[in-house]
Amino acid sequence: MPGVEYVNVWKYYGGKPVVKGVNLSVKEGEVRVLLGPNGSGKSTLFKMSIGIVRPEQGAVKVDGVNPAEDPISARRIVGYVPEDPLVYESLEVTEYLEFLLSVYGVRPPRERFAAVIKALGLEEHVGKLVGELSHGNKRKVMLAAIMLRDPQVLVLDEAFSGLDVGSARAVKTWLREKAASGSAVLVSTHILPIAEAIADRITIIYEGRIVAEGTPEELRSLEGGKELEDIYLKLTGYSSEVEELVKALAT
Amino acid sequence: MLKSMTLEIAKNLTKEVTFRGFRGVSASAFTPVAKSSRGKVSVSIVKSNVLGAIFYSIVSFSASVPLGMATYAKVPAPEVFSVSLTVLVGFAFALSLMQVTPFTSTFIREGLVDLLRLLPLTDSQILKAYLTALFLYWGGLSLAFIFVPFFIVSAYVAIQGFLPGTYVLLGLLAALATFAFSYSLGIALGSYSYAVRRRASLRVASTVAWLVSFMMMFLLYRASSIMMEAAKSLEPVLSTWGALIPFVGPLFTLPNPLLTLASLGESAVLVAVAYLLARRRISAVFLGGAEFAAVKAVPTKKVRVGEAGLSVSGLTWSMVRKDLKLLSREPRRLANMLFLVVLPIIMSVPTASSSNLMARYSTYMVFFMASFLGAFSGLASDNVFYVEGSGALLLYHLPISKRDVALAKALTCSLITAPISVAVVAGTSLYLTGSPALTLYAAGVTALLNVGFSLLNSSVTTSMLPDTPSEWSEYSFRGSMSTRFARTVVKLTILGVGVGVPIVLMLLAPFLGASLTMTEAILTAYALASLAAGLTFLHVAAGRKPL
Repeated sequence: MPGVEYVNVWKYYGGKPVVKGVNLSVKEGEVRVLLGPNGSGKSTLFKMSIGIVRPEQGAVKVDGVNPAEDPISARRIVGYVPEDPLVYESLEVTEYLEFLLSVYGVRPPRERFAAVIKALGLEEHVGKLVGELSHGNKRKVMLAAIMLRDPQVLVLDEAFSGLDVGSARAVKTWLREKAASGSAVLVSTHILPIAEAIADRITIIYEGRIVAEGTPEELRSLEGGKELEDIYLKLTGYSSEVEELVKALAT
Repeated sequence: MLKSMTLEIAKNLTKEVTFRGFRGVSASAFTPVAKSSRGKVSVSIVKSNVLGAIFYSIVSFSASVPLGMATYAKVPAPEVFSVSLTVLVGFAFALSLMQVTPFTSTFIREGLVDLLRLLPLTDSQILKAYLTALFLYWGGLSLAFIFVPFFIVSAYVAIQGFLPGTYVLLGLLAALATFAFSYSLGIALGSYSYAVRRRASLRVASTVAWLVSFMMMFLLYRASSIMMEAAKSLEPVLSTWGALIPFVGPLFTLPNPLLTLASLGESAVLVAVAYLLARRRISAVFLGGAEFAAVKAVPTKKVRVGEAGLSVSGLTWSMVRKDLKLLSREPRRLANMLFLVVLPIIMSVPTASSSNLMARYSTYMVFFMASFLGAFSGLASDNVFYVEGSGALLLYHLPISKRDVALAKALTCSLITAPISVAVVAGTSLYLTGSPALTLYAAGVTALLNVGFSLLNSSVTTSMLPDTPSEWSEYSFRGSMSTRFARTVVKLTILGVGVGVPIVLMLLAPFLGASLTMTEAILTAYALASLAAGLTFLHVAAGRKPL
């Protein structure tokens, strides 16, 4: 049974399709990276995994649970981190973590808490109000909550956005280790080297449709060994015409 | 060019403050700029000031009616002038603070000052834009109308020879000094918004200040008569110690030039201190960078991660604990909530303690207070929803049901409001009847009604929340016009039942010949019914549906 499964999923906003018949499955023990330009439907797909967005057609399953029908169970299964930090600005970092862990009924040991905070470089910030933190640190706090919770299915939207080098390394290592221990990991990022480094398989989505899928090597072989960036740009509409326009802007 | 640029920046600044104020936890009914149901903010000098100007003019005119009577009745115009102006000065002070402080607080807390500093603007241009926004687009102009009709009437009375011109002159000075003082103080207080979240002492002070402001607004209708009574009984004291009353003190000590000068000096010192404080805060926070000032001003709590663990609790208690923390860090929300507890107290306690009533109806009065305070204070739970602000977005991502939310909000509300209501009812009961048994019963009824109405109100509010992830504020209720209307009717019905039934029950009971035992039985049934209704609504209206 796959950890996350999208079967012929369609979604419309204002009559316009934003997700068009997506079929995607992330198996246990796999890190799947979803690549695509802004507005290509990645976040919409991710939100479906916890039932915040419901597909008009098709079905989503997380560990056999349909989030559209049973969002509460899906939210218990999935560790979801959205693109924008969802925080209480007036709570201290520890209070925020305590609240989230209480909701999930998770009591992490003291050592685990210390390790997560250290790994993400949050030692100096745990006593601060979340509202006093930078965007990157707010994202780290959300990631810390997920790391402490330790769910079996991970869905991370723009997982590395705003992270410093050390924290990004920590998250990369953690995701790989999670997959190695049998978790299903679905991640989106705009940082292609990170995608190549952590992905078992990469899916490229453009205008709501999957346009390529495979291991990093398989994708590179599509264009005779070109770099992933070139393949990605070619598949997502970044033409030589745009390149010329940008050059003209600079001069 | 420069003028239009300042106006343009000020206008957009006001829009942003309004938008972020409503979005965030600092939303309040006292923002002079309206937000449409579609979430759009439309700002103009006229729109921001016209309603306030009309309302304040009415207040001002009402306050000047007794003075106008001096021209044809035997009314001591100077005394009436002094007392009425004191009321208006208090009103102007409270309102100015309520406008300036949240604006400045949002301006700094939301980083708008940093946004302006990214633009190629000088410090004085930023300051000018901020002040323009405050005065022109945030309703500052309208505040002047608190005094305009009053001084027109005063001038007329003075021309007719009933009021010495010196009073009018000193009154004008008092009005100007009040605005200078309250605006400066408001700017200074608003600039401490970072620190208020952090320091318990400032939070308590801020909550008390907001509560007093709300009470002053409510008591306005009685202020003139209260002041007039007080002035009569305190006349000998006022002519000397009245000099200590800021800004209006000289009006009470006018026959004594030395005292008048001293009083004027005191007012000048107050204004100067507030002005200097505001200037210091402006240069530190506005022009020195908010982040810098905030970090400097707010010491961070040191947590040793290796030693500290996380305190994890059950779902409901964790939500309650979170709400209590949020409320404790948002003084205006907390004050808003406490006001709904204080309001029935200030409405009923004076009547309850009146000597005429004590003898015959004291027990009925205790029953009335128990039901009125219990039910009314339970209706304060809406504020526990609004304090979520943008944090509510997170709740939609969590494995919680609407019932979980409604229950947690109701419990939070009761934890804050029930102890106060119960204590007041118990205290009044002991004072009026001296019976411990009756006091215990009244306290129990108060607590039951508080929990019942809190559950009822929270469940209805939960059923009205947006289905899609949204920030929660007074503007979050979803649905079409007819749905909103229907739900408003439900809310008003709950309010009507909560407030009306006790009044009718207890006021009519003695006249209908209902014995104390029968009244007690009816009251018990009413309290239990409210609890049953609350629990039913919790299961039906809130339900197991996910948020």
